[in-house]
Amino acid sequence: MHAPATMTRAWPMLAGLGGGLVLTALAAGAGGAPQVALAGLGVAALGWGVLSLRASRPLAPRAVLATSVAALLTAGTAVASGALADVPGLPLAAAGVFLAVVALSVARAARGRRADHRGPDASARRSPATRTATGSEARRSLVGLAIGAVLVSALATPALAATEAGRSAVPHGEHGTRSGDAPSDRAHHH
Amino acid sequence: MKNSPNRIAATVFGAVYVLVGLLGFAVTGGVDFIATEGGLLLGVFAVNPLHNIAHLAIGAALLIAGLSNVAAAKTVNTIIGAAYLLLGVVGFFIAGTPANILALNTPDHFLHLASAIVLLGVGLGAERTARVATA
Repeated sequence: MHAPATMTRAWPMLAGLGGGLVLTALAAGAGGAPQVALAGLGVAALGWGVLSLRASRPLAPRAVLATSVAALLTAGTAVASGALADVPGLPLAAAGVFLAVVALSVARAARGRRADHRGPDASARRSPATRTATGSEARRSLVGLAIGAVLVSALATPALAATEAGRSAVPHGEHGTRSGDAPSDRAHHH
Repeated sequence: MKNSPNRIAATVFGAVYVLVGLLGFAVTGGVDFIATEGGLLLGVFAVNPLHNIAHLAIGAALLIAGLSNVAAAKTVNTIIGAAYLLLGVVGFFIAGTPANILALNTPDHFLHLASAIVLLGVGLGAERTARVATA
């Protein structure tokens, strides 16, 4: 496998984890049906990320593609109609980016799977997880994983902080402060 | 060890967390253990004695596993990465408590998230046939 492909192999799964975190954080600040939908989608994204990491390939690409596109279209429609006026923009945009990355990657995987059915050697070419990794490939994949984690964290951290959960979070240095301190006041410290 | 992503990740992150834990005590020396006020490590990471203990414990577990063998490193990486993310998600729903470890735009929360993703990713995805990997 080429070095860039080795390094970026896990990035769609990391995007799934990032998207799942942002969606569950949005769910924590929502109520009613949106909370259920956001939490369900978030947990599904986290689960897909974990299981796909374990399998070393994007699982259920067609179902994930359909779900991601449907979620993006629904969110776009809701934003356009003003239904999400109370929802902070940054986490919504970050979740959209993560879902788009997942959708693009599973679309590629679905195309690859179709190509596999056409050629007898294709499945062997596209099963990197079953091969024994060489030392250099292992190091490249670790470096790629670290870069991907930094990119996901760089987008997810400010997005999580902009959610309702972030606004009421307690800064580390203030654990145990008086309960009378209003969370909203503390939120402006960072 | 150099051919094992899990051992490399566990050793590097373990060393960093142990170092952060030890250095943390230098900036929180006069602070109560339950830490109503913390200190700033390297001028950016907010720490208090309770966090120093947590960083030391996590770092020690990672370091020992990383220096031991592939299977131990893989197991500890996965458990710590999953625990961080799980606690982070649960923390969103009990946001006014210290359990909310991921939802502030601060360097320590960034470090928690990035290290959790790397540890979970390498623990789940690398060396699925850990017994044949070069230890």
